[in-house]
Amino acid sequence: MSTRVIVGIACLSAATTGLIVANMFLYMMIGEINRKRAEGNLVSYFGFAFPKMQRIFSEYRVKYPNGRLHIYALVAFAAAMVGLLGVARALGFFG
Amino acid sequence: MGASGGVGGVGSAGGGMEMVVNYDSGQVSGFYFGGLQLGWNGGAPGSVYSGYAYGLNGSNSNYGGGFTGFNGGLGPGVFGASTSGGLTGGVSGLAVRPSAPGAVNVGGLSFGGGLLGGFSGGLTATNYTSPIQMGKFWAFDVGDWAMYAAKQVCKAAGF
Repeated sequence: MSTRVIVGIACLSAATTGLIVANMFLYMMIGEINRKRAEGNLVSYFGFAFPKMQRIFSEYRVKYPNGRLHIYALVAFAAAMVGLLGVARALGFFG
Repeated sequence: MGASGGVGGVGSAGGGMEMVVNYDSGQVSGFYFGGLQLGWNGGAPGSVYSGYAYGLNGSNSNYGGGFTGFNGGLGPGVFGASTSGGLTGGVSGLAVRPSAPGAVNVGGLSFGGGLLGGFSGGLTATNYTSPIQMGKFWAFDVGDWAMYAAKQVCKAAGF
């Protein structure tokens, strides 16, 4: 197995981990938001599109001004994207 | 432009369809594709996307076959792909050579969502059908006509 393949697998593993961690922080944000919402008006843990993501981030920031989960989620996502760039590089993209 | 969907978390099997308009010849072609994605795919992902392809021949026939790519997003996202051995070429077949003669390179923007989590991305390996030729020019919008005109000017100028 060549070095390039090993680096690619390592980057893909890092990217996948980053994405899963980012989504875990997202779920934690939903949990925190739901703690301050009334029963019957809770944010669902299933089904995500960009408008819902925006609502979760903005509501979390309003309800938890000192909270850092949204920052952790974005940092994990950014790390995952760096990992994906490593995968692309190992595959032969970018020269 | 195209639309895709799939089922899976860390590994996802998916498929979709795309329409390609050629700014060199005006040819409009349809393609179906299927493949795998490794990464985090949100359980049941779906997306629509649009982008540009470089290296197409006049009939878009070299858009068929294997592609290896990557994508990532949080609703809106980006993707890139290039000609490869696709799913049927083994691990070594996933390697791409974007600058090789005849290679087709694709990049663009996507918009989608998933069942389990809004952050997604990963490595994709897909195989496309041969083109379904659908005639010329009919799918062009104003932007496509502008790109087509620019391409013809570049050809006439020898670029």
